[in-house]
Amino acid sequence: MLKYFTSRILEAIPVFFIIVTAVFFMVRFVPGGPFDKERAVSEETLAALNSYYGLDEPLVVQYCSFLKNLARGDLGPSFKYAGWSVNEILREKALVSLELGGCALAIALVLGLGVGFAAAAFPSGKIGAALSGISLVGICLPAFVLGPVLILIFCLRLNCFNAMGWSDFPSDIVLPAFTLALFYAAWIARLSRSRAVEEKSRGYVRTAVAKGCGKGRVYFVHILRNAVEPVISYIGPAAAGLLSGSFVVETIFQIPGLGRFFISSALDNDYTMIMGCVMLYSVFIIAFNLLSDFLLAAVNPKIAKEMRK
Amino acid sequence: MNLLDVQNLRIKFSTRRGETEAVKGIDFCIGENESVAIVGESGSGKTVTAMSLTRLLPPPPVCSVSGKILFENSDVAAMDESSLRKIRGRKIAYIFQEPSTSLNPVFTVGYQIAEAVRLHFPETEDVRKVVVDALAEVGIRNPELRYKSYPHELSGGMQQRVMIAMALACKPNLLVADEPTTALDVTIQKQIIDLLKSVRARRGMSLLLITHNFGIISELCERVLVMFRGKIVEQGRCADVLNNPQHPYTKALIGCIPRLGMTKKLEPIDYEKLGAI
Repeated sequence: MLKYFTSRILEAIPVFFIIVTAVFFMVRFVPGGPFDKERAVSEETLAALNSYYGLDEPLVVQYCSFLKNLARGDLGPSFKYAGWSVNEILREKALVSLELGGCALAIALVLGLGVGFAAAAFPSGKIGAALSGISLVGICLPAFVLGPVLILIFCLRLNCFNAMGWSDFPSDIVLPAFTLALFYAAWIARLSRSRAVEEKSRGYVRTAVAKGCGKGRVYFVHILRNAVEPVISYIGPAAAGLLSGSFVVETIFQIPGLGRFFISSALDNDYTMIMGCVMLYSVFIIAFNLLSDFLLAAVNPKIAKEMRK
Repeated sequence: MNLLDVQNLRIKFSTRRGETEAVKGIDFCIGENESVAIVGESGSGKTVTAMSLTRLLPPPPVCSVSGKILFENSDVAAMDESSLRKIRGRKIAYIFQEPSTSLNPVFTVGYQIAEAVRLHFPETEDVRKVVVDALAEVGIRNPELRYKSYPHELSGGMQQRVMIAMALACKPNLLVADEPTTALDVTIQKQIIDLLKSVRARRGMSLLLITHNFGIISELCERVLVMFRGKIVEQGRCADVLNNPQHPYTKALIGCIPRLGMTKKLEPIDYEKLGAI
């Protein structure tokens, strides 16, 4: 098992470098540069800026110095936010996004598994149909609709939360975390419901009933342990998406998170910031997929056995 | 007094295309320490009959069961859920056809057997020992080690032995074996039959064997019921039915058994001729 995960981590290193290299060259081939403004900058200023940031050197030289700095953990200065290094921005903003994303992930898991497994418990009844319907709505409802609706209801009508802002009150996290979580919760609900319904007709369920297990025991002990598998596979990439921040939710609720930088850095051609965001996201994706595989192995011994081979 | 007395059992299934009656009013009984077989082709209603004995069939409206199923003089068909749970596994235990799907893939076989013991004998101090003994009784070598095995680590024959150990662990009065050897290859079939035979000789318990294999019946059972289209068409002592079948369906069914050194062609069952029955 340890061997399997060591080899998976070793495999991840070249993957990471391929992503980094591809993105490095791709952003530089995009027309325009970080200092193209609507107001024209004079030739001399542009030349000075380019030479200050090392952008006048050949691409290969730039790439080598990027790798050299990366090895030291230095992602370089942001081109857009003068005086800020990418490291500083990532550190400060990522913490906010991690907090928000972590809460959203917890909500998504609790809500999703709860609704999904409750719906599967009554697959043909009205409750099951209602719960499945709700989760379908959850998937279809985009954050830019849900967010303002929640603000309208809970802030303007009921006055329970602040409409926007971050870190003024602990309750500020509630609405954005819920807005972010709903889509994921709905997916988890659908995944867990369909798998649990499928598992209910398996032979081992009949065995459990035949040996005298009560309904609750059959469902919670025998079926659910088998039904969480698709959810675990899903939360790997989902966690990476949630924890790296969301452009829409952070914009609606005015949250100083990382999500906005994913979009703005690309629009601004902020080369170093793009690299920072991409690297953070790929590390998340690789790490969380590994973690979800590890969880899968912990839940299902058959998968663990295949990994040991 | 009979251990099990089934009277006028009818089992109906409602499907989208209407109702089908899988079992059309059958009566039979099983005595203490008696071993009875139900034979018949696929769809004759033998498996649903076995499942109905502890109400393992889907609940109404999908499936409705009527008639009396008297087990130790109390009617299983009319029993509440909690009294039923005390019978399931403890008084009537099952072995199913497919051992590979009948075991939960995510729990060790030891845990799954121990679960049955804990449910019915919560005061047992050393559950592990009971389980290991049960595994040893069904001829599993290294039972201590196998306790921690997962179902996928065992062969089909071993899985079926685990199922038998699980069924026997609570010392049931009636063992219902629903085609216990169908999914296994011939040499393993023989081992499982010998195992059931020796367990019965040692413990003395009743057995209801569901099968379409006449070879097993004569080895294991005293009495046989022949089912055809939801009805019992013939019943009697094994030797009598096998050597001197009365009903045309039984004759046709026995005519399908290949024998070593046989020169005559096997006759398929002529349903046209049986249609009127």
